Amino acid sequence: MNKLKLIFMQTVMISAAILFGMGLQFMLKFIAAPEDSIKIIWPWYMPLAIILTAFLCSIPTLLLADIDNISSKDMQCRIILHFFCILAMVSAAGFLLKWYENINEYFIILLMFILIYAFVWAISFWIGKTEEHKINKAIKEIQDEE
Amino acid sequence: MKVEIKTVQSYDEELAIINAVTITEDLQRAIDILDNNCRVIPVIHQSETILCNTDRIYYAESVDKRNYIYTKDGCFETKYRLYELEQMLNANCIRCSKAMILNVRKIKAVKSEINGRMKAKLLNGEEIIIARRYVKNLKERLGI
Repeated sequence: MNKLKLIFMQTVMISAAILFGMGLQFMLKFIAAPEDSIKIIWPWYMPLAIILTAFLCSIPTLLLADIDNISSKDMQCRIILHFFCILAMVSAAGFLLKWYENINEYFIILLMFILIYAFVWAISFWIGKTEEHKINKAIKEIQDEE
Repeated sequence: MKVEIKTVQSYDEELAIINAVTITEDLQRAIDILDNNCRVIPVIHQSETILCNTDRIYYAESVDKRNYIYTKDGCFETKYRLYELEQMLNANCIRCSKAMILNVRKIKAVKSEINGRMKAKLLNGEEIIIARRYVKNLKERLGI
């Protein structure tokens, strides 16, 4: 049940992230060429395709769902696998949904993906370090003397 | 002696005030319990049952359906299961993984790991893993 909830939450979050990314992309296109941007029409399947893509991208999250008893090396392997699984999903979805039409556009998508992925992990790392600092400070106050 | 108990919201607010003419032996024992949470539990050491002060406990662990209590320099078997120990031991002892209870006062420092769990270095130099789902317990106990 927890895993289903995790997949659902991830699907919702990734859908929102894709919409945000597309919104940003269209806004930049509008700034660059306002006349052309007015003509952009979404195909009928686009909303469902976004949700389906988000769902597929959420599945690799299961690799990071039960990680309490694994070693740091295993964790690093899982993160690398997770990265490449999502990259494969994003590349496939981008190809089918025509997010990129040539190699240059694909590299832009790739760069955006790497930046977002690194940003999410950097935030997690920063939250962890902040918690560590707070806990260590609180522990000092109640620590036994040995 | 009259005893008055008032419920408070957090461990930080816990306070015991004793109004006494003299500190008797019984009263001193009560003070020791309140001050150091110094209670004892029976443990097995070399086939003999001995009493172990709860404030000496670093952590308790369940291995192959047997339960062990670890102090600074010793390891003792106990007949109590982890959930029973969790109830018997004081509030400083928290669940840190499915099979382990940790005495927060024996932690020297913690270090966060990439997967959300924490590694706790104890005062005796041992290192214990605090599982991701139990980090919340530790934070609650510390009032964070």
